[in-house]
Amino acid sequence: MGATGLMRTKNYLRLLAVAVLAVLVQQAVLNQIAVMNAHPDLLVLLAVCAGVVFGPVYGSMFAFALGLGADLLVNLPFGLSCLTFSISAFTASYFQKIPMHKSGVVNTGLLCVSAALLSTLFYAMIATLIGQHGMLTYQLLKVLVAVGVGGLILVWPSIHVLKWSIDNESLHRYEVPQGGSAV
Amino acid sequence: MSPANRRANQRITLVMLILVSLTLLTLDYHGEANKTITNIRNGFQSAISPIQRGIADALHPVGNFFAGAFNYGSLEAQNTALSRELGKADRQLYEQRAEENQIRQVQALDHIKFASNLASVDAPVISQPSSNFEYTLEIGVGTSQGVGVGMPVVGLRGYVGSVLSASSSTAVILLEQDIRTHIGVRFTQKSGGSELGVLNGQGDGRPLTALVNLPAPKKGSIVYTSGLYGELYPAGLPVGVVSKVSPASGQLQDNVTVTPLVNVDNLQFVRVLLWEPPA
Repeated sequence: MGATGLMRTKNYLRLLAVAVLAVLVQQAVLNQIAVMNAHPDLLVLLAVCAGVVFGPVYGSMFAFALGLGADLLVNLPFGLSCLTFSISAFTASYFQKIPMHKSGVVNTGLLCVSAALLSTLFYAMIATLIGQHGMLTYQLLKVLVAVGVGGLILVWPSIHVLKWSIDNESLHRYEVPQGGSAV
Repeated sequence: MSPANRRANQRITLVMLILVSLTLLTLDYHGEANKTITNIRNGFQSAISPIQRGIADALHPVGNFFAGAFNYGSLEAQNTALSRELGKADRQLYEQRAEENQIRQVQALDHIKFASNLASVDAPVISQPSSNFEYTLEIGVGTSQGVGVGMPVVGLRGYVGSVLSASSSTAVILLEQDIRTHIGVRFTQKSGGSELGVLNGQGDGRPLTALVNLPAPKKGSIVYTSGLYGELYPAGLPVGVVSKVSPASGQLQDNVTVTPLVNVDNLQFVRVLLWEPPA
Protein backbone atom coordinates (compact mmCIF):
# COMPACT_ATOMS: atom_id res chain seq x y z
CA MET A 1 0.00 0.00 0.00
CA GLY A 2 1.46 3.39 -1.00
CA ALA A 3 1.51 6.60 1.00
CA THR A 4 -1.75 7.77 -0.61
CA GLY A 5 -3.43 4.48 0.21
CA LEU A 6 -2.30 4.66 3.82
CA MET A 7 -3.53 8.24 4.08
CA ARG A 8 -6.89 7.24 2.64
CA THR A 9 -7.22 4.32 5.05
CA LYS A 10 -6.33 6.61 7.93
CA ASN A 11 -9.01 9.07 6.80
CA TYR A 12 -11.66 6.36 6.59
CA LEU A 13 -10.79 5.06 10.04
CA ARG A 14 -10.94 8.54 11.51
CA LEU A 15 -14.28 9.22 9.81
CA LEU A 16 -15.65 5.94 11.15
CA ALA A 17 -14.44 6.85 14.64
CA VAL A 18 -16.09 10.28 14.37
CA ALA A 19 -19.39 8.75 13.24
CA VAL A 20 -19.42 6.15 16.02
CA LEU A 21 -18.46 8.72 18.64
CA ALA A 22 -21.18 11.08 17.40
CA VAL A 23 -23.83 8.37 17.72
CA LEU A 24 -22.67 7.56 21.26
CA VAL A 25 -22.56 11.20 22.34
CA GLN A 26 -26.02 11.75 20.91
CA GLN A 27 -27.52 8.68 22.52
CA ALA A 28 -25.80 8.79 25.90
CA VAL A 29 -25.35 12.50 26.53
CA LEU A 30 -27.39 14.84 24.37
CA ASN A 31 -30.62 12.84 24.53
CA GLN A 32 -30.53 13.25 28.31
CA ILE A 33 -30.41 17.04 28.05
CA ALA A 34 -34.01 17.43 26.96
CA VAL A 35 -35.71 20.73 27.58
CA MET A 36 -39.48 20.70 26.99
CA ASN A 37 -39.13 17.26 25.37
CA ALA A 38 -36.61 18.48 22.80
CA HIS A 39 -32.87 17.91 22.74
CA PRO A 40 -29.95 19.07 20.59
CA ASP A 41 -29.25 16.97 17.50
CA LEU A 42 -25.56 16.41 16.89
CA LEU A 43 -26.07 13.95 14.04
CA VAL A 44 -27.97 16.32 11.78
CA LEU A 45 -25.46 19.06 12.55
CA LEU A 46 -22.51 16.83 11.76
CA ALA A 47 -24.19 15.77 8.51
CA VAL A 48 -24.53 19.33 7.20
CA CYS A 49 -21.05 20.23 8.49
CA ALA A 50 -19.73 17.28 6.47
CA GLY A 51 -21.35 18.78 3.37
CA VAL A 52 -19.58 22.07 4.02
CA VAL A 53 -16.21 20.57 4.96
CA PHE A 54 -15.98 17.63 2.51
CA GLY A 55 -18.01 18.98 -0.40
CA PRO A 56 -21.17 17.59 -2.03
CA VAL A 57 -20.00 14.08 -2.94
CA TYR A 58 -18.07 12.94 0.12
CA GLY A 59 -20.17 15.15 2.39
CA SER A 60 -23.46 13.62 1.31
CA MET A 61 -21.98 10.11 1.52
CA PHE A 62 -20.79 10.70 5.06
CA ALA A 63 -24.16 12.28 5.90
CA PHE A 64 -25.90 9.20 4.52
CA ALA A 65 -23.80 6.98 6.80
CA LEU A 66 -24.66 9.18 9.79
CA GLY A 67 -28.32 8.94 8.78
CA LEU A 68 -28.07 5.16 8.95
CA GLY A 69 -26.76 5.49 12.51
CA ALA A 70 -29.55 7.89 13.41
CA ASP A 71 -32.19 5.59 11.92
CA LEU A 72 -30.89 2.68 13.99
CA LEU A 73 -31.44 4.68 17.16
CA VAL A 74 -35.11 5.51 16.63
CA ASN A 75 -38.32 3.64 15.94
CA LEU A 76 -39.36 5.83 13.03
CA PRO A 77 -39.28 4.93 9.31
CA PHE A 78 -35.90 3.47 8.41
CA GLY A 79 -34.11 5.48 5.73
CA LEU A 80 -35.74 8.80 6.53
CA SER A 81 -32.66 10.26 8.22
CA CYS A 82 -30.45 8.93 5.41
CA LEU A 83 -32.62 10.74 2.88
CA THR A 84 -32.82 14.07 4.70
CA PHE A 85 -29.20 14.09 5.89
CA SER A 86 -27.72 13.41 2.46
CA ILE A 87 -29.92 16.00 0.73
CA SER A 88 -29.14 18.56 3.46
CA ALA A 89 -25.39 17.94 3.27
CA PHE A 90 -25.48 18.24 -0.49
CA THR A 91 -27.48 21.48 -0.32
CA ALA A 92 -25.29 22.96 2.43
CA SER A 93 -22.19 22.30 0.34
CA TYR A 94 -23.67 24.35 -2.48
CA PHE A 95 -24.15 27.34 -0.21
CA GLN A 96 -20.51 27.16 0.85
CA LYS A 97 -19.36 28.81 -2.36
CA ILE A 98 -16.01 30.04 -1.10
CA PRO A 99 -13.36 28.13 0.84
CA MET A 100 -13.93 27.95 4.57
CA HIS A 101 -10.77 29.76 5.51
CA LYS A 102 -11.95 32.75 3.43
CA SER A 103 -15.63 32.75 4.34
CA GLY A 104 -14.90 33.10 8.05
CA VAL A 105 -15.60 30.81 10.96
CA VAL A 106 -18.76 32.61 12.01
CA ASN A 107 -20.35 32.51 8.55
CA THR A 108 -19.55 28.84 8.12
CA GLY A 109 -20.97 28.03 11.55
CA LEU A 110 -24.16 29.96 10.94
CA LEU A 111 -24.57 28.28 7.56
CA CYS A 112 -24.30 24.86 9.21
CA VAL A 113 -26.79 25.70 11.97
CA SER A 114 -29.28 27.11 9.45
CA ALA A 115 -28.89 24.01 7.30
CA ALA A 116 -29.42 21.78 10.36
CA LEU A 117 -32.65 23.64 11.15
CA LEU A 118 -33.88 23.28 7.57
CA SER A 119 -32.94 19.61 7.63
CA THR A 120 -35.01 19.08 10.79
CA LEU A 121 -37.95 20.84 9.17
CA PHE A 122 -37.47 18.77 6.03
CA TYR A 123 -37.42 15.57 8.11
CA ALA A 124 -40.75 16.49 9.73
CA MET A 125 -42.31 17.32 6.38
CA ILE A 126 -41.17 14.13 4.64
CA ALA A 127 -42.25 12.07 7.66
CA THR A 128 -45.69 13.67 7.51
CA LEU A 129 -45.88 12.97 3.78
CA ILE A 130 -45.26 9.27 4.35
CA GLY A 131 -47.91 9.03 7.02
CA GLN A 132 -46.19 9.79 10.35
CA HIS A 133 -48.65 11.98 12.20
CA GLY A 134 -47.84 14.48 14.92
CA MET A 135 -44.69 15.89 13.32
CA LEU A 136 -45.89 19.30 12.21
CA THR A 137 -47.09 20.49 15.60
CA TYR A 138 -46.06 22.99 18.24
CA GLN A 139 -43.44 20.42 19.26
CA LEU A 140 -41.60 21.14 16.01
CA LEU A 141 -40.98 24.73 17.14
CA LYS A 142 -39.49 23.49 20.41
CA VAL A 143 -37.35 21.02 18.49
CA LEU A 144 -36.09 23.76 16.17
CA VAL A 145 -35.15 25.91 19.17
CA ALA A 146 -33.29 23.01 20.79
CA VAL A 147 -31.51 22.08 17.54
CA GLY A 148 -30.65 25.73 16.89
CA VAL A 149 -29.30 26.50 20.36
CA GLY A 150 -27.49 23.16 20.58
CA GLY A 151 -26.16 23.73 17.08
CA LEU A 152 -24.65 27.09 17.97
CA ILE A 153 -22.75 25.43 20.80
CA LEU A 154 -21.69 22.32 18.88
CA VAL A 155 -21.07 23.61 15.38
CA TRP A 156 -17.49 24.79 15.74
CA PRO A 157 -16.27 21.69 17.57
CA SER A 158 -18.04 19.61 14.89
CA ILE A 159 -16.31 21.44 12.04
CA HIS A 160 -12.93 21.07 13.75
CA VAL A 161 -13.43 17.37 14.38
CA LEU A 162 -14.38 16.82 10.74
CA LYS A 163 -11.36 18.79 9.55
CA TRP A 164 -9.16 16.70 11.84
CA SER A 165 -10.64 13.48 10.49
CA ILE A 166 -9.16 14.00 7.03
CA ASP A 167 -5.63 15.06 6.26
CA ASN A 168 -4.84 18.57 5.12
CA GLU A 169 -4.18 17.64 1.51
CA SER A 170 -7.56 15.95 1.14
CA LEU A 171 -9.25 18.86 2.86
CA HIS A 172 -7.93 21.34 0.33
CA ARG A 173 -9.00 19.02 -2.47
CA TYR A 174 -12.58 18.99 -1.08
CA GLU A 175 -12.79 22.73 -0.49
CA VAL A 176 -14.97 24.67 -2.87
CA PRO A 177 -13.13 26.87 -5.36
CA GLN A 178 -14.23 30.46 -5.88
CA GLY A 179 -17.39 30.54 -7.98
CA GLY A 180 -17.56 26.75 -8.25
CA SER A 181 -18.27 23.72 -6.18
CA ALA A 182 -16.12 21.11 -4.51
CA VAL A 183 -14.86 17.75 -5.81
CA MET B 1 -12.05 16.52 -14.16
CA SER B 2 -13.92 19.21 -16.09
CA PRO B 3 -16.52 21.32 -14.25
CA ALA B 4 -19.35 19.73 -16.27
CA ASN B 5 -18.18 16.20 -15.41
CA ARG B 6 -17.70 17.22 -11.79
CA ARG B 7 -21.26 18.52 -11.56
CA ALA B 8 -22.60 15.38 -13.23
CA ASN B 9 -20.64 13.24 -10.77
CA GLN B 10 -22.10 15.19 -7.83
CA ARG B 11 -25.66 14.82 -9.11
CA ILE B 12 -25.27 11.11 -9.77
CA THR B 13 -24.00 10.61 -6.22
CA LEU B 14 -26.96 12.49 -4.76
CA VAL B 15 -29.47 10.62 -6.94
CA MET B 16 -27.94 7.29 -5.94
CA LEU B 17 -28.12 8.17 -2.23
CA ILE B 18 -31.74 9.30 -2.60
CA LEU B 19 -32.63 6.09 -4.40
CA VAL B 20 -30.99 3.93 -1.72
CA SER B 21 -32.81 5.91 1.00
CA LEU B 22 -36.15 5.53 -0.76
CA THR B 23 -35.51 1.81 -1.19
CA LEU B 24 -34.84 1.47 2.54
CA LEU B 25 -37.98 3.45 3.32
CA THR B 26 -40.07 1.33 0.98
CA LEU B 27 -38.71 -1.95 2.35
CA ASP B 28 -39.42 -0.78 5.91
CA TYR B 29 -42.85 0.58 5.01
CA HIS B 30 -44.06 -2.54 3.22
CA GLY B 31 -42.74 -4.86 5.88
CA GLU B 32 -40.51 -7.09 3.70
CA ALA B 33 -37.38 -6.08 5.55
CA ASN B 34 -39.10 -4.96 8.71
CA LYS B 35 -38.00 -7.94 10.77
CA THR B 36 -34.41 -7.66 9.58
CA ILE B 37 -34.34 -3.93 10.31
CA THR B 38 -35.82 -4.53 13.78
CA ASN B 39 -33.16 -7.17 14.47
CA ILE B 40 -30.38 -4.83 13.33
CA ARG B 41 -31.81 -2.01 15.47
CA ASN B 42 -32.04 -4.29 18.51
CA GLY B 43 -28.50 -5.58 17.95
CA PHE B 44 -27.20 -2.05 17.58
CA GLN B 45 -28.95 -0.89 20.73
CA SER B 46 -27.66 -3.92 22.65
CA ALA B 47 -24.14 -3.14 21.48
CA ILE B 48 -24.17 0.45 22.67
CA SER B 49 -26.25 -0.10 25.81
CA PRO B 50 -23.29 -0.83 28.18
CA ILE B 51 -21.62 2.48 27.25
CA GLN B 52 -24.95 4.24 27.34
CA ARG B 53 -25.75 2.79 30.76
CA GLY B 54 -22.37 3.84 32.14
CA ILE B 55 -22.70 7.38 30.89
CA ALA B 56 -26.35 7.56 32.01
CA ASP B 57 -25.32 6.54 35.55
CA ALA B 58 -22.67 9.22 35.58
CA LEU B 59 -24.96 11.86 34.14
CA HIS B 60 -28.18 11.27 36.06
CA PRO B 61 -27.40 14.12 38.46
CA VAL B 62 -26.87 16.41 35.45
CA GLY B 63 -30.13 15.24 33.90
CA ASN B 64 -31.88 15.92 37.18
CA PHE B 65 -30.40 19.39 37.26
CA PHE B 66 -31.89 20.18 33.85
CA ALA B 67 -35.20 18.59 34.74
CA GLY B 68 -35.33 20.65 37.92
CA ALA B 69 -34.40 23.86 36.17
CA PHE B 70 -36.77 23.59 33.24
CA ASN B 71 -39.73 21.68 34.68
CA TYR B 72 -39.83 23.68 37.87
CA GLY B 73 -43.58 24.28 37.81
CA SER B 74 -44.59 20.70 37.12
CA LEU B 75 -42.45 18.74 39.56
CA GLU B 76 -43.87 17.28 42.71
CA ALA B 77 -43.33 18.80 46.11
CA GLN B 78 -40.04 17.13 46.93
CA ASN B 79 -38.52 18.02 43.59
CA THR B 80 -39.76 21.59 43.91
CA ALA B 81 -38.13 21.89 47.30
CA LEU B 82 -35.00 20.39 45.86
CA SER B 83 -35.03 22.82 42.95
CA ARG B 84 -35.19 25.79 45.34
CA GLU B 85 -32.05 24.57 47.01
CA LEU B 86 -30.17 24.01 43.76
CA GLY B 87 -28.59 27.42 43.73
CA LYS B 88 -26.80 26.94 47.02
CA ALA B 89 -26.37 23.19 47.17
CA ASP B 90 -22.93 21.95 46.24
CA ARG B 91 -22.38 19.07 43.84
CA GLN B 92 -21.76 16.50 46.53
CA LEU B 93 -25.01 17.24 48.29
CA TYR B 94 -26.85 17.18 45.00
CA GLU B 95 -25.49 13.78 44.01
CA GLN B 96 -26.45 12.42 47.40
CA ARG B 97 -30.01 13.66 46.94
CA ALA B 98 -30.13 12.17 43.44
CA GLU B 99 -29.08 8.80 44.79
CA GLU B 100 -31.67 9.00 47.55
CA ASN B 101 -34.28 9.85 44.96
CA GLN B 102 -33.32 6.78 42.95
CA ILE B 103 -33.57 4.58 46.01
CA ARG B 104 -36.97 6.07 46.83
CA GLN B 105 -38.20 5.38 43.31
CA VAL B 106 -37.05 1.75 43.46
CA GLN B 107 -38.57 1.23 46.89
CA ALA B 108 -41.77 2.96 45.83
CA LEU B 109 -42.31 0.40 43.08
CA ASP B 110 -42.83 -2.19 45.82
CA HIS B 111 -45.88 -0.26 46.97
CA ILE B 112 -47.72 -0.38 43.66
CA LYS B 113 -51.28 -1.38 44.49
CA PHE B 114 -52.48 -2.39 41.04
CA ALA B 115 -51.59 -5.38 38.87
CA SER B 116 -50.18 -7.15 41.91
CA ASN B 117 -51.24 -10.52 40.47
CA LEU B 118 -49.04 -10.10 37.40
CA ALA B 119 -45.38 -11.10 37.18
CA SER B 120 -43.15 -8.09 36.68
CA VAL B 121 -39.59 -6.87 36.42
CA ASP B 122 -38.26 -3.50 37.59
CA ALA B 123 -36.01 -1.54 35.26
CA PRO B 124 -33.89 1.59 35.31
CA VAL B 125 -34.53 4.25 32.67
CA ILE B 126 -31.25 4.50 30.77
CA SER B 127 -32.08 6.95 28.02
CA GLN B 128 -34.52 9.61 26.96
CA PRO B 129 -36.01 9.55 23.43
CA SER B 130 -33.44 9.34 20.64
CA SER B 131 -35.63 11.31 18.28
CA ASN B 132 -37.21 14.67 18.95
CA PHE B 133 -40.32 13.37 17.20
CA GLU B 134 -41.23 10.36 19.28
CA TYR B 135 -42.12 9.87 22.93
CA THR B 136 -40.09 6.92 24.10
CA LEU B 137 -37.79 5.89 26.92
CA GLU B 138 -35.11 3.25 26.88
CA ILE B 139 -34.92 0.93 29.86
CA GLY B 140 -32.20 -1.40 31.07
CA VAL B 141 -34.00 -4.74 30.80
CA GLY B 142 -34.70 -6.79 27.70
CA THR B 143 -35.71 -10.16 26.35
CA SER B 144 -33.22 -11.96 28.61
CA GLN B 145 -35.32 -10.79 31.58
CA GLY B 146 -38.55 -11.91 29.89
CA VAL B 147 -39.52 -8.54 28.47
CA GLY B 148 -41.38 -8.67 25.15
CA VAL B 149 -43.01 -6.30 22.68
CA GLY B 150 -46.40 -4.99 23.77
CA MET B 151 -45.93 -5.52 27.51
CA PRO B 152 -47.35 -2.71 29.65
CA VAL B 153 -45.01 -0.55 31.72
CA VAL B 154 -46.10 1.21 34.89
CA GLY B 155 -44.74 3.68 37.40
CA LEU B 156 -45.74 4.15 41.01
CA ARG B 157 -49.00 5.92 40.18
CA GLY B 158 -50.06 4.22 37.01
CA TYR B 159 -49.57 3.36 33.36
CA VAL B 160 -46.49 4.76 31.63
CA GLY B 161 -46.47 3.08 28.22
CA SER B 162 -45.84 -0.21 26.48
CA VAL B 163 -42.77 -1.97 25.14
CA LEU B 164 -42.20 -0.97 21.52
CA SER B 165 -39.09 -3.03 20.86
CA ALA B 166 -36.77 -5.17 22.94
CA SER B 167 -33.22 -6.37 22.54
CA SER B 168 -31.52 -8.84 24.86
CA SER B 169 -30.57 -6.23 27.45
CA THR B 170 -32.62 -3.11 26.66
CA ALA B 171 -36.14 -2.19 25.63
CA VAL B 172 -37.80 0.90 24.22
CA ILE B 173 -41.06 2.02 25.80
CA LEU B 174 -43.64 3.88 23.74
CA LEU B 175 -44.96 6.48 26.20
CA GLU B 176 -48.68 7.06 26.52
CA GLN B 177 -48.35 10.63 25.17
CA ASP B 178 -46.99 9.40 21.83
CA ILE B 179 -49.36 9.86 18.91
CA ARG B 180 -49.14 6.13 18.13
CA THR B 181 -50.70 5.23 21.50
CA HIS B 182 -54.32 4.07 21.67
CA ILE B 183 -55.54 2.73 25.02
CA GLY B 184 -58.88 1.11 25.68
CA VAL B 185 -60.16 2.63 28.92
CA ARG B 186 -63.15 2.79 31.23
CA PHE B 187 -64.51 6.18 32.36
CA THR B 188 -66.54 6.79 35.48
CA GLN B 189 -69.66 8.81 34.73
CA LYS B 190 -71.26 11.42 36.97
CA SER B 191 -74.15 9.02 37.49
CA GLY B 192 -71.76 6.44 38.91
CA GLY B 193 -71.93 4.18 35.88
CA SER B 194 -69.06 3.57 33.52
CA GLU B 195 -68.44 4.05 29.82
CA LEU B 196 -65.79 2.61 27.52
CA GLY B 197 -63.62 4.71 25.28
CA VAL B 198 -60.29 4.83 23.50
CA LEU B 199 -57.68 7.31 24.69
CA ASN B 200 -55.36 8.64 22.01
CA GLY B 201 -51.90 10.10 22.55
CA GLN B 202 -51.49 13.59 21.14
CA GLY B 203 -47.70 13.87 21.01
CA ASP B 204 -46.18 17.24 21.84
CA GLY B 205 -46.31 16.45 25.59
CA ARG B 206 -50.04 17.14 25.60
CA PRO B 207 -52.64 15.17 27.61
CA LEU B 208 -54.52 12.28 26.03
CA THR B 209 -57.96 12.73 24.52
CA ALA B 210 -60.99 10.58 23.79
CA LEU B 211 -64.49 10.87 22.43
CA VAL B 212 -66.86 9.44 25.01
CA ASN B 213 -70.59 8.75 24.76
CA LEU B 214 -72.88 10.81 26.98
CA PRO B 215 -73.54 11.08 29.86
CA ALA B 216 -70.24 12.81 30.47
CA PRO B 217 -67.49 11.30 32.63
CA LYS B 218 -66.88 12.84 36.03
CA LYS B 219 -64.14 15.49 36.06
CA GLY B 220 -61.35 14.47 38.42
CA SER B 221 -62.17 10.79 38.19
CA ILE B 222 -59.43 8.28 37.48
CA VAL B 223 -59.46 6.45 34.15
CA TYR B 224 -58.50 2.76 34.10
CA THR B 225 -57.59 0.41 31.26
CA SER B 226 -60.61 -1.60 30.22
CA GLY B 227 -58.78 -4.68 29.00
CA LEU B 228 -61.24 -4.77 26.12
CA TYR B 229 -59.73 -2.72 23.27
CA GLY B 230 -58.15 -5.59 21.39
CA GLU B 231 -56.95 -6.69 24.86
CA LEU B 232 -53.69 -4.80 24.36
CA TYR B 233 -53.50 -4.04 28.07
CA PRO B 234 -54.68 -5.86 31.19
CA ALA B 235 -57.73 -4.36 32.87
CA GLY B 236 -57.50 -2.05 35.87
CA LEU B 237 -54.29 -0.10 35.28
CA PRO B 238 -54.77 3.56 36.26
CA VAL B 239 -53.97 5.73 33.25
CA GLY B 240 -54.86 9.31 34.12
CA VAL B 241 -57.31 11.81 35.57
CA VAL B 242 -60.17 13.39 33.62
CA SER B 243 -59.06 17.03 33.49
CA LYS B 244 -61.46 18.52 30.96
CA VAL B 245 -64.81 17.62 29.45
CA SER B 246 -66.14 19.64 26.53
CA PRO B 247 -68.99 19.01 24.10
CA ALA B 248 -68.04 17.42 20.78
CA SER B 249 -69.49 18.66 17.51
CA GLY B 250 -72.25 16.03 17.64
CA GLN B 251 -74.80 15.84 20.44
CA LEU B 252 -74.08 12.32 21.58
CA GLN B 253 -70.46 12.51 22.68
CA ASP B 254 -68.05 14.63 24.71
CA ASN B 255 -64.40 15.42 24.11
CA VAL B 256 -62.58 14.23 27.20
CA THR B 257 -59.03 15.25 28.10
CA VAL B 258 -57.08 12.98 30.41
CA THR B 259 -53.88 14.06 32.19
CA PRO B 260 -51.47 11.15 32.75
CA LEU B 261 -50.90 10.13 36.36
CA VAL B 262 -47.18 9.57 35.88
CA ASN B 263 -44.84 12.46 35.17
CA VAL B 264 -42.19 10.95 32.91
CA ASP B 265 -39.84 13.94 33.01
CA ASN B 266 -37.88 12.69 35.97
CA LEU B 267 -38.68 9.00 35.87
CA GLN B 268 -35.72 6.82 36.78
CA PHE B 269 -37.28 3.43 37.44
CA VAL B 270 -40.31 1.67 35.99
CA ARG B 271 -41.95 -1.73 36.30
CA VAL B 272 -42.58 -3.89 33.24
CA LEU B 273 -45.60 -6.15 33.65
CA LEU B 274 -44.78 -9.49 32.05
CA TRP B 275 -48.19 -9.64 30.43
CA GLU B 276 -48.37 -10.21 26.72
CA PRO B 277 -51.35 -9.26 24.63
CA PRO B 278 -53.03 -12.34 23.16
CA ALA B 279 -51.82 -13.10 19.63
